[in-house]
Amino acid sequence: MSQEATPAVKLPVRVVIVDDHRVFRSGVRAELAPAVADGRLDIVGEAGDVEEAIAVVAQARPDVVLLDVHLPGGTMRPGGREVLSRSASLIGPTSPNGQPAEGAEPVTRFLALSVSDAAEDVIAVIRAGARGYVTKSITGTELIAAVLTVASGDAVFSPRLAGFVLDAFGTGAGEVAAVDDELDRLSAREREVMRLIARGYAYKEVAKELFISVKTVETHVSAVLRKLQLSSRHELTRWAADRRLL
Amino acid sequence: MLAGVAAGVAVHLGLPVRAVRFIFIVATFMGGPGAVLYAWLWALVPDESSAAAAEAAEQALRQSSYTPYTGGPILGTQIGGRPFPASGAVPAAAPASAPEVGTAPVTQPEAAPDASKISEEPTSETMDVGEPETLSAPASVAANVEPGAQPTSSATDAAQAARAAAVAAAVEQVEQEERSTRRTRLRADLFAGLCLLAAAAVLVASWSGWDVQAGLVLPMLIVASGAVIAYAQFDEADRSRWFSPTGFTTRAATLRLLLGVVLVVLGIVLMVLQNTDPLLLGQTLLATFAVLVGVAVVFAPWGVRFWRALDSERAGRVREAERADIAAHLHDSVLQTLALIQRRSSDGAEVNRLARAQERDLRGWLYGGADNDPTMISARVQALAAEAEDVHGAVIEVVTVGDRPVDERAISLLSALREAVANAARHAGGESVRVYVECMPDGIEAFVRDRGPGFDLAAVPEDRLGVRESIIGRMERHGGSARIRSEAGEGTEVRLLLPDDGAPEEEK
Repeated sequence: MSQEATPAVKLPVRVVIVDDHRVFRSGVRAELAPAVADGRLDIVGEAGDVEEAIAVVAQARPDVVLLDVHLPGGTMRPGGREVLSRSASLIGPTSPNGQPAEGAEPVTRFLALSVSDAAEDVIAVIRAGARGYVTKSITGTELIAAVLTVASGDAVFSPRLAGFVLDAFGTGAGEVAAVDDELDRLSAREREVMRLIARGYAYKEVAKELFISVKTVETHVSAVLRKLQLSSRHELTRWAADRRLL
Repeated sequence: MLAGVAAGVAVHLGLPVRAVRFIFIVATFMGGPGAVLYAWLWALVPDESSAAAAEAAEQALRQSSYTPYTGGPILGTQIGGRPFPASGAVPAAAPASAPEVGTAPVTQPEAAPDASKISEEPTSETMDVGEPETLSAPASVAANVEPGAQPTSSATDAAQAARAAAVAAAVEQVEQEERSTRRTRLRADLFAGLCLLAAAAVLVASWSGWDVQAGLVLPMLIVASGAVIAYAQFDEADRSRWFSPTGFTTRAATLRLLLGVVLVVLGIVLMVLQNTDPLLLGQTLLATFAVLVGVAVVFAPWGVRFWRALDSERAGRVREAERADIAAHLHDSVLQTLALIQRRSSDGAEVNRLARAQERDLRGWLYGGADNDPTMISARVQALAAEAEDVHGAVIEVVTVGDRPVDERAISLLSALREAVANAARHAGGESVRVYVECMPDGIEAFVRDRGPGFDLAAVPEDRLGVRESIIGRMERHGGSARIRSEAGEGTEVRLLLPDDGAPEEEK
């Protein structure tokens, strides 16, 4: 995760925290407090269930929503997915680099934050439009960095999510895309980036390791996110179909 | 002698086999019922192996579901049995845990032979434990590992071995049971087909003018075939009802049942109306059908209500079983840990470790599902990371990509990985350790990364065998390679590579 915010982001980044546990929400507030104090973040709302989350997000129009995956209320499971699909108009179309088109309305980006490592939860919220997935064991500094990364339109991949991606795209079985925009497979470079993230490298370290810029790393990660969301690859669709996500 | 039917009947009735065989043979010569009865029994009675398989499967499943609960005592051993360097174990806790240290090795040998008896093959875990390198490692390398750690880890290994064997045995038995069910059904089909063929032969014979007693034999054969088809269906439905939530209303099953009923009714009608006018026969069949429909109409609501009651009772039973299962698990894991945490609330590191171990356990239970098959690499990597977490109190995050069964060479990689993880956990300095294992089509690659202070391999004294011998040496002996990259302040990354072709790989 990049340590500094990309200059393109308008500060402060406005954040809404969605989680059904009040204790956890105040915990996140405390973790984000340093960034709030120096004006990088501004927490503009909180919500505890699906309906409340949709209302708060629609009304506050934050830049980033920290979204718990398992939320009470609503009809879909996991609840976080319902928030995403019913807020779809705010997410906007995902271009390869995640940047909104010129003159477009500011978009809201979702960062999933969950205790669950289960593949179906991860895949569910990512395919519903989340820009990243981190587990609740993340440290405060990492969380702040992740929020800023998502705000700038890039994707945030935890090592575990990178592992899922490598597994789902069959790189373990040696499948590599010949062309970059092939949706169902990763390119060789994307695979390298994913492997380094899975090994626990921060974006900066990945960049150093591969002799590329952090921005390029972020571009690769965003491209992988897009494939994850749009691919009709068998493993992904099977996950989705099993959970009636399609 | 033929299919063991006579022997089976003899066992069941408590008669000598010879007498039963004699009766069968005499009955066969007195007009044929002996042969028909023999074939009937052969088709319908489940054979011994399937009955035994069902029983053994149940036993194995019960065992495997109990084995994880030994996590309680083992957890206790790990916590109490080993003084934690910084805190120095709470004196009051030591005597309490001492008996547990004793009991763990006693209970394990009991479980292990039992389980291996079922699976009838030595599990790879035992080989792993017995590997001399592993045993020498703690003595020479890990000088700062507490002496109490070794029995703990071997006990954990034994528990895992027992669990693995039990699970493997259960899977094996369930598969066997499935096979035998299929066999029984095939046999029933075969019998029904033979009956129908015989009926057709009798019919043809009587038409072509032979003097056959078609009036009696024909309907009997038809009834027999119908009954076998329908009974075999009931038998299976009964079994699957308790195992599959969907019940037995698949289309094929319903069709078979209907076919059986039609055949039986047809046979009985033919038997009752021997040698009558074909016209009358048709009318009678129609009348019979009408009566059946009438009975169905009258009893349908009752039948539906009965079925619903059965259904809800079944659902209730499943829920109850699930609830009991969850309660048992929570009791054996979460409640135990919470009690321990309360007792040691003053010892922060210990509480932290307890919570972490419990979280891992619960997480595995909630989300683990299919991927804790102990014969696969990913599960073994998770297990060794869990062990290192318990021993060293570090947080270890594991990511695995792809999977393959554990073979002998993979065990050497896992042993080296265990050593690397232990090293990293010891030097991580509070930061989490990252383990990444990828099973590729042409080999296995593993990375262990910590963010500790880092070290210089050349500066490690010759007598510290940890890194040089049990990681690098072991990998090279098995045709793999190990590379260690360490920078001051950047942490250390160990990379283990085990290509399938076995040729030592050149460093890039």
